[in-house]
Amino acid sequence: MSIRQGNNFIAGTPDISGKANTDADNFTATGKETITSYAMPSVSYTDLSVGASGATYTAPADGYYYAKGTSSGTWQELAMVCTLADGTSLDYASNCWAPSANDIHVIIPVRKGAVVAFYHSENVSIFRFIYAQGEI
Amino acid sequence: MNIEEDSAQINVLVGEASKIAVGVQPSQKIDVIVGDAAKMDCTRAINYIKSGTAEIDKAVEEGIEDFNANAVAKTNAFNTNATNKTNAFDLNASNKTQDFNDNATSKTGDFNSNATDKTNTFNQNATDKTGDFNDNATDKTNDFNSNASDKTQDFNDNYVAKKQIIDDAVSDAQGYATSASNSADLAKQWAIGDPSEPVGYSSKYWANEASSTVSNMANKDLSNLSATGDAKFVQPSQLATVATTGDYDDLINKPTIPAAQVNSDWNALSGVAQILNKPTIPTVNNSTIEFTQGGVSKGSFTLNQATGATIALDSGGSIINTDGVTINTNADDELQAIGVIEKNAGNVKYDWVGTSAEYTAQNVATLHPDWVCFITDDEIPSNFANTDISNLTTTGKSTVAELPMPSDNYVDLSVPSDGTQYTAPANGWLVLKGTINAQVGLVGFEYYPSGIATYNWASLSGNDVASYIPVSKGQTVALRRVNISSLSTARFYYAKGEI
Repeated sequence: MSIRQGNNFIAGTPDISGKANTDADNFTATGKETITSYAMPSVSYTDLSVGASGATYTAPADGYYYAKGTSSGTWQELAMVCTLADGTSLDYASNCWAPSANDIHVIIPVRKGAVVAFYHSENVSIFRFIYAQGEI
Repeated sequence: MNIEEDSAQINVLVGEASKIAVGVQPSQKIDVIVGDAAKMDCTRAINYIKSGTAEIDKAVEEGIEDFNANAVAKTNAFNTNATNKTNAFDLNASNKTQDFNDNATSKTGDFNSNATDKTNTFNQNATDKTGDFNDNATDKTNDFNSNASDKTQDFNDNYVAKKQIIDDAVSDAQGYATSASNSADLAKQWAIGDPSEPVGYSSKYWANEASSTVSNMANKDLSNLSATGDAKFVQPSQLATVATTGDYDDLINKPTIPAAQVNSDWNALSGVAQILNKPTIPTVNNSTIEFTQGGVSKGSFTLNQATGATIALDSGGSIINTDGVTINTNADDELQAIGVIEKNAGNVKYDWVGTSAEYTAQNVATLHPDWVCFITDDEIPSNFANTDISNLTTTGKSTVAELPMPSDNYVDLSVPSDGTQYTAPANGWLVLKGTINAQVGLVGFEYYPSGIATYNWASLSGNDVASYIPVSKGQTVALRRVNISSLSTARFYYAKGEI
């Protein structure tokens, strides 16, 4: 039961109109677009220090790890591997090979707290964590 | 003289003969040899000359041989060249002749074809024009005949009508002529007929009648009146004064005229302007009663009431007022009270109770903005998501997780060149797939302007390479393709939350 004075809900009586349900099946188009946008990369990021190849990094929020390097060998690879919660098993990965003297870019989406191992050569110029739009 | 004989007497050799005789070079300066020396040296000279002659003969013979050999070679070369040239000429002439014949044949064929086409076109055109001409001539002839027939008919009709008019006019003229003749005879009779004969009413008769009548008339000065006639006139001295002055004051026995009238005055308390026996007028008020329906004025009238009032109809036609009285109409449109809701006088805890549908239907919120209303059927569901979205069900989390994923809805991009920028129309995913045409090639994306990117490389010509990247609405991305011969896929896939 709600209590109104005229058209206004009396304090303590919540207005139920426009509320999302827990099954998330009554979002409006605007609501769906908003939630969708939360998963996309934002313009906010944190540059990271590059550790030794194979070092792991824990995602501070939902977002994306991104790295850029330059191939110094005939073919050189940048790779990121996201591990499962136990830190031992391969969850999913992203990698990129490039011929000598060409740029290599690799990006991988991660959930908050995910552990990512980064494999690289010595020619990494950018290594950063990009926050998802829902995190800023 | 034969200088080869010993008996020859040669005493002096001069000039070139002396040079030859002594065997010196022509540049040496020996001009004269005399005596036996001359004779002796002359012999040497003769021998030398004989030897030179033999050499000359040999040289001549060798020269002739060289000449002949050279002449043969030159002749052979000439003949060979002439033959080649002749063959080339013949070949060229043959080719040219063939080209000419081919061209002539082609041109002749073209000419004949063109001539045939032109002739056919001309004949077809002539046939068409002749047909058009004949059709036109027939139409014109038919038009002319029709027009001539109409004109002839009009002429004949007009002729008959005009002839009738003319005949009528001639007949009228003949009648007028007879009348004129008769009138002339009558005028003549009237003018000069017998004055003693009234029958016929001649002018002379009427003149005599007038003369006899005028002799008894008064003249213009009335100077020939008889005594009887003279006595019938009143003399000025016999008239009253007013008859000649016209002045009111010259009248006698004038009436007494009362004072001028004045307007009646409601407020006058005496005098001729006072209004007697005035009625008592009651006080009249001028308040207004207005009718509205659904808040819109439908008209008003004034009453003799000190205070105005409003009778309002709701959108359904019921009469309401702010005190909560509702009056409805029955089937005969007669006003009918259906109930009374008393205004909260402080003895109840609410003004209105009902369901959400009733609340909406009765428009309580608008009609009674101060009423406290209890809505009985809008219990707050327990399945609302909280603002932290921390209480989503498994279904809800799956739904939210699915929203950013690629959907099946996409738009194909115009085949981009390397570096083409594309701005995402919504949240979604960009995909490129192509085939490399070199030892290495790549497809990828770079966010603009941050440069964040993803590249996928491949090696060996003919192999495929693909790449994708998530992109938020409004984000501009540079599309990269290096050594890609063809892009089989260049698409923007909408996220599921965008469809």
